[in-house]
Amino acid sequence: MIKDTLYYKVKMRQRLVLLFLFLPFTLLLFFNSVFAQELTVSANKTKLAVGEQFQITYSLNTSGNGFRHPSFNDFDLYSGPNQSTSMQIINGAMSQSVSYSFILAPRKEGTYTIIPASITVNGKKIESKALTINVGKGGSNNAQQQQNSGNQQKQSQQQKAGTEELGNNLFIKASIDKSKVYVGEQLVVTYKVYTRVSIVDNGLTKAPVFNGFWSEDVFSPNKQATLHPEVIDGIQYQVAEIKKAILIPQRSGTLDIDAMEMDCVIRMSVKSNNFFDQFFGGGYRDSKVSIKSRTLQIEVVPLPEEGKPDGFSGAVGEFSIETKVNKSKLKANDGVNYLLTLSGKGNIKFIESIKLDLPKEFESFDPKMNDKLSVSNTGISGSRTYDYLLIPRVAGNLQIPALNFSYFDPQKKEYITLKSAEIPIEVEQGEGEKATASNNSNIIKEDVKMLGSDIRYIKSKTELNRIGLFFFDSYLFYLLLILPFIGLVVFLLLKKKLEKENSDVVLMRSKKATKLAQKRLQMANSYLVKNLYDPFYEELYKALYGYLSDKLNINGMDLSKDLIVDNLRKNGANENTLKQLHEILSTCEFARYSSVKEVLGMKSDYDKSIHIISEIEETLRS
Amino acid sequence: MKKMFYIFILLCRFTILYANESNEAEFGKANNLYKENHFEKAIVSYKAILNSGYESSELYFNLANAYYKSDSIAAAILYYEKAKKLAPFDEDVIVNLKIANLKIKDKIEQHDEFVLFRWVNTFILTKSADKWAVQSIFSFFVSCSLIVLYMLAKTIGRKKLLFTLTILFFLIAFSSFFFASKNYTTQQSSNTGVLFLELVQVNSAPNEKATSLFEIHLGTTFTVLERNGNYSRIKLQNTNEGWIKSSAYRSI
Repeated sequence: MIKDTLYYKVKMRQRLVLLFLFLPFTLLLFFNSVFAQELTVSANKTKLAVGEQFQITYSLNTSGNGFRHPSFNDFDLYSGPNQSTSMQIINGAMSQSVSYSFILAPRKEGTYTIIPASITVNGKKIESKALTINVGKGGSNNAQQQQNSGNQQKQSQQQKAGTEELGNNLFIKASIDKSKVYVGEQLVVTYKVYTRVSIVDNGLTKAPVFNGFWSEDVFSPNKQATLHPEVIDGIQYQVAEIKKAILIPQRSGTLDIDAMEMDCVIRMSVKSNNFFDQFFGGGYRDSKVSIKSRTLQIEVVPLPEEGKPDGFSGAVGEFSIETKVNKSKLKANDGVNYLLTLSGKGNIKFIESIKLDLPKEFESFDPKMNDKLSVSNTGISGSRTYDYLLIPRVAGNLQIPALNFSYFDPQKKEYITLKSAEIPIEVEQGEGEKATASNNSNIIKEDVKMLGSDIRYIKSKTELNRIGLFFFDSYLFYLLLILPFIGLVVFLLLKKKLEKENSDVVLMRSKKATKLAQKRLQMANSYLVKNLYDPFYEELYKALYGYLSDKLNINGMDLSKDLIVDNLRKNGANENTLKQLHEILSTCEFARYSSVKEVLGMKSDYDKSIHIISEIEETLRS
Repeated sequence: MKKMFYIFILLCRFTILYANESNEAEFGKANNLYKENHFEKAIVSYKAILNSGYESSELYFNLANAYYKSDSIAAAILYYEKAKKLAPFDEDVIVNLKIANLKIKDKIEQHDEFVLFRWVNTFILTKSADKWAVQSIFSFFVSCSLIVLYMLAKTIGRKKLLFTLTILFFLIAFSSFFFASKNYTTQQSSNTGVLFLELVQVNSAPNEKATSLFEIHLGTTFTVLERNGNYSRIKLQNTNEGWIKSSAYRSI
């Protein structure tokens, strides 16, 4: 070790000589340029264990001379001061900086203040700040030790590094791209592992659960992380993204984004006294370390109520809509597919189904949804297609009305309403309804809507009757019912009596007729004796007519020769007798109205008449 | 002639109407109470008319409505049935009775009558007993007159026609009388009952210890077959029979 120190000292002296040779030149060159000079001091670590090497760098953004560094009495000086200068020309302006670095290692534990260093710039002496170094105990909490490269057993206590000191060398950092979001607005959370040590193995012990969020992994931790360098506060880290997720807050308020916990096995080289170990790359030690990120908080604000459009479907992001139909000409009662495509970036998955405001001519069914979404570093984007099946029920030129779709744009902080175009559809008459549709194609009848059921209202008019009073039951009813019967009986009795009386009259007349005829014939006989022509025939005529009138019950007024003959024929009289009757009646009429008096035939006419009457008497009796 | 009979009947009615003026006023008053949703008071008013010995299907209907509105379903059904008895084809009565029957617990399937009987019964119900009676008298009168004409008729053709008509009118008169008497018996007799208790067990015999056959609930309508002491033998529309206490129901 003393050898090393000597070697370094010689080497440094040579460098200093070189530096002093060039210094006047540089000073001369930049004499006029005046900068805000500052001598800054930095250490790559301020917390360390006994024997752990660290680096202190003093840097000056201009050139200076007479650098005086403090004596590092409590530290072993491994190397330094190592000077480096740099020159930059940016847009014609030249800048120069110089830095001095030391590699030290503390001898004992404790807190040390490294007193400021000084340098003279343009004849002015400037000082750096003091630096505090905490030296802890040598790391002894190694849970796991691994030995590699040969059979090295001995451990140098001084070389052990504690996890505490690992803090700055290995940690997880969670980051979000926004600190304040709206409900439904997407944000990206990234978990990164920063390391300055080599990690042999790692495993997730606690994956974050995003309560109150809907999450979608951009990539998950089990994927092989790629390392890339990143500098934080002048310290370079190897950084690996281990998890990236898109979060969509589902409620408002202050929400926690969970921490991520992880176990890492880190490999650290250890100094070995073993020659072979050194030869083969030195020994190393693996130790297991748990690391955890901080819990982040995010403020989620609700969507503004002001200006919220009707039918807002909960879409947050940036969208565009497109509508189309699969056919524009069809028959009534056939189906047409109405496709509504929403595309853009945002919470597409959370958009409620959009209600179509269709005219009554259409029947519609619930839409089929088809999502095409992709998750990228910037969020979820893609499209959702609603496939509505519409059935026009009537023929004609119909319009699928324009559709309004509203979403909230978190960037512009306002609601935006998109309007689709109207789509005309030509509907021809369907097969079955030609007859009905042609008459009243524009009238669509609706069923009467039943609002509720209730009993029918009371009646306002009535006609009150005595309870139990019946016409049917009354005496009046039976009286009235019997009355016609009584009438009928009375009628029958009357009729019978009348008929009886009537038949008596006829009988009398018939009986009288013979007597009357006899009387008249006697009178006629007396006239015959006296030879009185006119009275004789007069009496004979009366005797015959009177007799027949009474016998046949025919009124004398209606009596005529033909009627008498017809009546007698019906009663079955002899044809010869009828002929004689006709002759004698004719003779009588002739004698009554003629002036010629034939006295000779009187006797035979008288006998004839008696004969006829007796004949008729016999006929009618039988 | 028919007119004459109606005039006669109307004259009979007129005397009744004259005595009825105060009841008509009471009816209007009750209707107003109903209109203003004072159903309990309307019930009292309607019942006053009934107690004075007068009735009409409208009165029973309005009273039933008032009972329905004051949630007395059994009473509502009873009075709807009474209204239906007087006006069997009144649509309002039928509809309201149906609605009221929806509110009761028992859903008893109607036992279907033979179609021909149903037609005949419906036909008989198309006219009230009194109207059938008038028709009977009229037809009998015509029939008797036709006999007279028949007797006086001289030609055989006329006699044949008159004889046929006589027989026809006599049949009309006879059947009208029969229908009138049937409707009259239905009106007079009260062989239908409505249950007024929330729940009643129907027994197999007219005593308390008898086996319970089934249960019926408030508002159920049934036919009363016979009475035996405090018990009545009832028959549901689905032909189930049994004995219940006579105090549990009210006759229509």
